Amino acid sequence: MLFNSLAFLLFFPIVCAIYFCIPSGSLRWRNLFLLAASYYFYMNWEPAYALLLLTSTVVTFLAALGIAHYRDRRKQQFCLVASLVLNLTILVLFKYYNFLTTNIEAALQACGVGIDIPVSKLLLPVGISFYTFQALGYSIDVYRGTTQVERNFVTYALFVSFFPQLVAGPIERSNNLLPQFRQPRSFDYEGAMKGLRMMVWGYFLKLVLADRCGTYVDAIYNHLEMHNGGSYLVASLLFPFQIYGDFAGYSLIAIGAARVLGFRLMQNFRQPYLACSVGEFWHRWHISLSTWFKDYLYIPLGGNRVGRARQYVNLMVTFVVSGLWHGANWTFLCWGALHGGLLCLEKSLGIGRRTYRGLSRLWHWLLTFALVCFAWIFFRADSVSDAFLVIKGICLGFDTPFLRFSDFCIIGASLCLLSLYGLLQEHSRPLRLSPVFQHLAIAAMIAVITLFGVLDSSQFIYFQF
Amino acid sequence: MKKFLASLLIIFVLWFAIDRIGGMVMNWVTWHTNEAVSQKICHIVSAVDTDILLLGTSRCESHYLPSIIRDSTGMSVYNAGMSSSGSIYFQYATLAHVLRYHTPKVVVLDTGESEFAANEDDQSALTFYAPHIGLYPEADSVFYWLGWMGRYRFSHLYRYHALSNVAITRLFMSPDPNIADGYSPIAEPPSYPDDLGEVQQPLPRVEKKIALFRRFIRCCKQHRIQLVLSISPSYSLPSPHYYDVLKNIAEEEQLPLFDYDTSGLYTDHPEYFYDQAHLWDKGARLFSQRFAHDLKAFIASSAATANGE
Repeated sequence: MLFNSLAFLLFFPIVCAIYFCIPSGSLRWRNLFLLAASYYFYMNWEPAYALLLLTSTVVTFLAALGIAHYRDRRKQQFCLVASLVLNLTILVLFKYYNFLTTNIEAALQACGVGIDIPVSKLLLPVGISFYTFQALGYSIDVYRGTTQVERNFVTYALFVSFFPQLVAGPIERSNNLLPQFRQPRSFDYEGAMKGLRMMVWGYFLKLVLADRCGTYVDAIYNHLEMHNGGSYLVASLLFPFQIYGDFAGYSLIAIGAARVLGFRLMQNFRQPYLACSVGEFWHRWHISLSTWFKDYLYIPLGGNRVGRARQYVNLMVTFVVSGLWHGANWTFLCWGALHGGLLCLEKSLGIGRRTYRGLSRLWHWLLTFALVCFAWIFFRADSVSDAFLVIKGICLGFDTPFLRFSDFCIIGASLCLLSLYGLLQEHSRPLRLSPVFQHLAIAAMIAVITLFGVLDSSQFIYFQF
Repeated sequence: MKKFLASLLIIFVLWFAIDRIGGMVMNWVTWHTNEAVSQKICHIVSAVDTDILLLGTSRCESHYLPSIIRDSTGMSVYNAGMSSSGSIYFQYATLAHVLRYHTPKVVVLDTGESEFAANEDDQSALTFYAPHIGLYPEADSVFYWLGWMGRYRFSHLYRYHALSNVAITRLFMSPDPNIADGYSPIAEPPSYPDDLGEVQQPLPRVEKKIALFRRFIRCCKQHRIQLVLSISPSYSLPSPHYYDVLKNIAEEEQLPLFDYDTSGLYTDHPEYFYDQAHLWDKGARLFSQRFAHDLKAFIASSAATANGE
């Protein structure tokens, strides 16, 4: 079920109404209901794949129980490794199998060995990377002793499958979300209103900004042969806002929906395009994933506690894996490697540590934005050769771009609103409106979405990951 | 919880007010914009007064020059063809809107096999008529037919969302000078199509569309309109049975069908085509002369038959 579908607009109020009709003291029933609603939400897409979600849940639940049960560190390790291997095997089978076999075939063919490995026709289960990482994070936390083992299966299953953040995050941490399922919750008016505002803003980002940018970006990137370098440049400048609006929009709807129900999910985006270094960008972009990789990959590899050369290797490994997490394609790998390389460069020049002011800040902001936009070219292109075609076109084949004035007016107005909102948030000056104006702002925003939004229930980009 | 429900109610009331006021503003914009689609739709729902009405998709819009057909037949012509409107839903709504206030003598429907094919996208052009919901029940019936009426009743702003951005931005611009009597010429392409492609096989058909097509035909007969079916040329190879559904209906209903596609008209002249489906202005002018000649002959023979000659 998509957040931007009519089905969800009916589903969510019904879930809220039933949820709050269950007495707040009946925690078990409330959790059970939310679990059923979450599985219904997930099964709307492909019912059979709910079994994968259940498998991942059961495996990590049992592994955590095993870790808590055994005192012997080796047995605990066995439980953890079993959980990691089983979950990652499922992930690899469904997400990376074809990528691996295609590349193995190509490599063997280059060596003169021609083999034909069968192709998998399995669909990529929606959100598999998200819930697998969330469940694995829990297993590791229990192993490290940083989170309490959950012995109630319903509570744990709800933690893995909680519908607002099930398919595209934020990738929650067990010590943030799990305790919330253990505590009785009563309705919180301020929280619910804040959640509602977040949802409306999220819908605006997705339907008005992202999808409007998407109509242009897709028109160019899906028909590169028909366009020139000017159009490539405009599309490459719009794509960063498309993906931001799409993913930050989803995250806001998810966080807002959870907030209406009384749960606080972690912040996933913090004005990423205001960053003055690539390192800062990663403290602001997809925070739940970047901190996941930091805590469960970068630090275990040695993090910053090792020699400089090893730090660079750790950074590169982390970002290449992060790139591959996004998809089974060389383009994502290049994107990750590019970010890893840029971070290594920044680290070697000591860029990320300084605070910039005035013109220096403006220069670093512009440079960071340009570098991030450049990296997004690899992320958006269908293949690495397409990415180079775009880069070559921008550098050597610049011509008058294809422009759609009407779309650009909406995108421009949306970006102005986004910039204003971002700058206010950045300087910790949230708009303080009277309740009447707050209500009016929500109503006006819904009207703007109705009029200018792209209302064709297009998928969120991050669903494919 | 009561406070939250009260807030939701206040938001709904405020939204309702904004929606209705915004709807009125957008209605004004729709009637005053220089955006081509909105202008054409407004013309269709209020000002068509010609003897011949041309209906169809972008192929109709850019293949038939009203001036050439008018000069040949001596009858006034308006081209109501609309890009991206490849389904009978849109054509029926167009006819219904015109019949509210005017009855043309001849309706030419430029059609094809895709008219009856399963393709959800081809319904989207019907949203161009959403701003004019409530003008004429017969035209609204297509929205009911598709089950879309609920959303347009619920939100008036939603009726304008398909064209809102272009309608607003073109409010203060001048109209497209190339468009005349509904004809929208296509410029010469940088390169002509060079591959006729594979032989096109008949597409799976949708019975609902065929039923509406029959209703379209009945409607023309009830209003004593001479309906002419036409398939304009394409740079492709339709199989001999590609238009069987259309041909069978035309035969059953005793309707004239001018098929320029199966006969392969202009397939030896790729320089007339913009792409496989569209003639550019040069090809369209030549085709319009050919069509006008055929139409004139048909009208003359029909008149002779009617006079018992």
